[in-house]
Amino acid sequence: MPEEQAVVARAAAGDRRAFEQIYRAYAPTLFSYVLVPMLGDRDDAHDCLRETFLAAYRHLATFTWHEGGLYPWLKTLAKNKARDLLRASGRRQRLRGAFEEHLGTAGSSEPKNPAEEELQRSALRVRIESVLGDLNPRYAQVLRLRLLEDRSREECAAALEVKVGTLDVLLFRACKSFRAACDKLGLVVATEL
Amino acid sequence: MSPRNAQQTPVTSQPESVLDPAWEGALRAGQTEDGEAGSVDAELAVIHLLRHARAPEPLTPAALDRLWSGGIAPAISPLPWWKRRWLWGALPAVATAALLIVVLREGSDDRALVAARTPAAAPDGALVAAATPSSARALERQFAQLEGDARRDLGGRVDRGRGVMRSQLLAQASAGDKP
Repeated sequence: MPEEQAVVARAAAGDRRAFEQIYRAYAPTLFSYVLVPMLGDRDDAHDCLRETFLAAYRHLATFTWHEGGLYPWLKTLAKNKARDLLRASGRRQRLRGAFEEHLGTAGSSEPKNPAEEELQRSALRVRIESVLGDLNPRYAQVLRLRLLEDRSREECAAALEVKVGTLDVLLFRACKSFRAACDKLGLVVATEL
Repeated sequence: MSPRNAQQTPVTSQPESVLDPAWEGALRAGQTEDGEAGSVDAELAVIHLLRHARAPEPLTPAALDRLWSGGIAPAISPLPWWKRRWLWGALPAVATAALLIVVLREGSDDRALVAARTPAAAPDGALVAAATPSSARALERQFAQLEGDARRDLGGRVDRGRGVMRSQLLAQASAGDKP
């Protein structure tokens, strides 16, 4: 965010427009790269995002400016809010579709800004490719076509020379196989936070 | 199996986002075809992970605006003075207090007026009577009593003056008869 330090100072002094500028700069990244992976649920991620920025507004005066800027501070707030929600919703919710732990092992360090989040996603892609290399070629192909290349079910079925109904079975088995390969390599896909 | 897993979501031909519920539907269809049952949460996490690697779940501009205008902005904006809750609680109390002050001040003004108009020599009982809300009636009663005394006093003074004048006239007449 340009002139971030000045914007943060104005927001800390109660300038609502400056705070909105911060919100619009960082909310999309926090949602996509922090809250969705942690929660695996869109509505929960929306709720947490709102709570994160309300907490940020209340506590912005306590923020001490440093070189890394505001994003790491906001990210910590967002993670804390997500953990609070997970604790409140119970263990079952924690196991549903969250994949934050795997992101944590994909990069070399914790991303400190939106650009680093994107870099970490590139690193994740490389790591996924390496896991796919260890899978049954048909499983790897269905995961690539359907999930990474965004092909339709019909296209995937045609490419794999199976019926559409069989494609679902293939996708299910491929996911199980991918998970087993991750476990074998010591990569955690879904775990309790 | 979680309650959400129990819901069979429709399988669409082209799921778009990371968290599209159609992914779970596809997994459950495959699981059923494969003769298995139970949770598909772990497989769902794999799908979410791979879809995130392709493109993260976006926060749409509409959702960004909705969260700001519906959840954050109202909470951080100061309320205008006419919408503050404490104002509407305090307003009746202030109005009552103001009314009470006006009534009490008017009462004290009445007492001061009565005290100023009452003679200093008036007995304390009369003053107290005048200060009461029925002071007009008390004043009327007091006036009636004083009026009778005053008339009697005036009549006595006239009689005495008349007697003095007559004796003076008689004395002048008797002095005029002498040579």
